[in-house]
Amino acid sequence: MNKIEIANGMIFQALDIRNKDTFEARLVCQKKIYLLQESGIDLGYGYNWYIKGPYSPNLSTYIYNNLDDFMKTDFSNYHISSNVTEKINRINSIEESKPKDLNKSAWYELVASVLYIYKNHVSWRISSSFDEVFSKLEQYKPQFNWEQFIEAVKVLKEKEFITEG
Amino acid sequence: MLNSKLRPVKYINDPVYGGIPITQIELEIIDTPIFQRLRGLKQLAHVNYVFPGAEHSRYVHSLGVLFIMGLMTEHLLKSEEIVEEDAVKMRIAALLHDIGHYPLSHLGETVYGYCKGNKTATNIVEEFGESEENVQEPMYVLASAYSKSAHHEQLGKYIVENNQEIVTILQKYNLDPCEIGDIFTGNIGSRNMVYSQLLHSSLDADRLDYLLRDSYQTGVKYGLVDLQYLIRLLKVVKEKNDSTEREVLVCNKKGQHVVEHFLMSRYFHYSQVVFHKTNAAFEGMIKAMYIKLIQKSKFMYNSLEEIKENINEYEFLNFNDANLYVALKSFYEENVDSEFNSLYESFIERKRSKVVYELKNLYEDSPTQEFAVLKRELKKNPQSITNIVGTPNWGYQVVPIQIERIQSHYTLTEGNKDHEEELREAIKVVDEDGNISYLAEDNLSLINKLANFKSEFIRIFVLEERDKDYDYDKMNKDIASLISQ
Repeated sequence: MNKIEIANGMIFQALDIRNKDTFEARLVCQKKIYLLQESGIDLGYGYNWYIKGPYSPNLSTYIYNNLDDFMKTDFSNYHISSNVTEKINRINSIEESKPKDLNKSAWYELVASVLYIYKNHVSWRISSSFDEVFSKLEQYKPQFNWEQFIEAVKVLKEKEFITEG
Repeated sequence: MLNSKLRPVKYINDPVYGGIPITQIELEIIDTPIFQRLRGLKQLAHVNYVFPGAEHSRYVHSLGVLFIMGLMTEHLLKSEEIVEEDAVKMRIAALLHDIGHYPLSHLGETVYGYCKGNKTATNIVEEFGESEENVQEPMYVLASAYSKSAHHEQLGKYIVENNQEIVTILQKYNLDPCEIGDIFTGNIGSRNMVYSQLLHSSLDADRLDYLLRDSYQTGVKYGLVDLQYLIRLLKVVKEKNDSTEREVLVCNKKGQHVVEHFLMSRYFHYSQVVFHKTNAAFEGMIKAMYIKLIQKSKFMYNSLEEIKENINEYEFLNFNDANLYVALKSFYEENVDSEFNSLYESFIERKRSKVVYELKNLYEDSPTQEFAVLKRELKKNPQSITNIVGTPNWGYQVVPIQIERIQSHYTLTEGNKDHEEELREAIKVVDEDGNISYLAEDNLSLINKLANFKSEFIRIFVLEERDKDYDYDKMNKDIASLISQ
């Protein structure tokens, strides 16, 4: 494996991305990598807005072609640098703030979607106010309510994905 | 009466379509120096080493995509399925969709993508940072590099939003640069599925033009699709699922054989032109040289970030193939890297690398044992290949080609729930009762029978050194024996 593949494999393992066979697992994978990239680790996956929120077709292909191999590979000769590990921990720990009425994949979908709309508000022709972000979220994802949205905003602030407002 | 923004003010002659009608705003964009830069980027990089006619540029391709988008939007306008404002935006997005391309097009994109990925990997893995100080990866890594993302579109969006001249023109005509960029990058996604599909699906304006144009320029006949009929099949319909309703682009089912022909043509185009084995070997050589150039800061820009910083500079207009060749020659003349110089001489003399092993596979579920083993060896144990070929100066290419993005058992209802990634890409058809389905779902369609198959091939090539003898038969036998153990 070249350096790029080793780094990707280690990141997937550290983010606990080990399964591509269910839609839920693929969805969590998509959102975790999105959040990691938003934290400043650019793995080169371009994201668009799709039905379940931010989605990268390239990541989907990459996972399909490589994940099984990565899971069987022993990377113990290598170590992830401490600042990247800290970011990975932040993303994994988002699960701990999951509201009881949402399952894991819906929670990551909500958190990543809120961040995506917030970060791309200019393209969505709205301001960055949370009221407007919620109204867009509601338009495309009516299954989420205001209380769940507020929980997502709270965790995004705690984990420093959103620093203002 | 036609919206003045859609009225042609000029026709540009084109060998594939005849006259391409150009509106005032399009003319102003075409006349900007940054758009003219596209004349200096070859559409197919060095496919011209195999098909000598393949000298066409991103410039003429962009005009071609504009033409096809013009046909598509005119048809949808006539049936009142879109409005004129949609047509204006889609035409501009089509014209600008490749504005962010690199010297040697996708080959350059791969090189910049690889260099960026390598840098990121160095920041992620402690050991890479420590052992670094620019330890060059072996030649087989450089010559086999690939890129995960189409970041020329992201650079294009950046240019459209930040190049002073483009922004001024778009704003003069009340067009939002951000929205134009969102359309051609696909960022608009499911917020406007019709926009996404017209420029980002299995049957979009971009693919139609490159199939027709590349066929014309290379002289192969695969691209002779029935363009006019294909366009007439397009419809915008409302697609409903559990909680939402959205407009999607579909094809009228009565003409689905034309769509099937198009998909087949594209399949052959990829397998016979884009991934021609001689081209693969040349691309491996060029990639290795190009990466060395970037990593040693011997070309204009070393990263996407640096490119972005310079898009308003006059110098950026020289970010093209010709200046890449100048940089390659200058580095050759420095005479500091014998590996590079050997590649450069082969490139100039058109001495192709020898493809020493090729394995093809057409499979439904999983590839043959040999195929899987070779793939694994190339990735996990490249030293075994180095031992066989007797040099680290080799490269490989693994190419998967599929007829359609989805498998035949996928249904649209499932797609909305479980395979969202395919909704944009896969071709949808509508029957006379208004029922929408994937083309690949229809068990009377040829595509249904082929959609589950994947054609994949692996090629290993050796970058020969001058005056050195190679026993290719032995290499071939040894690789065959390695994977059959």
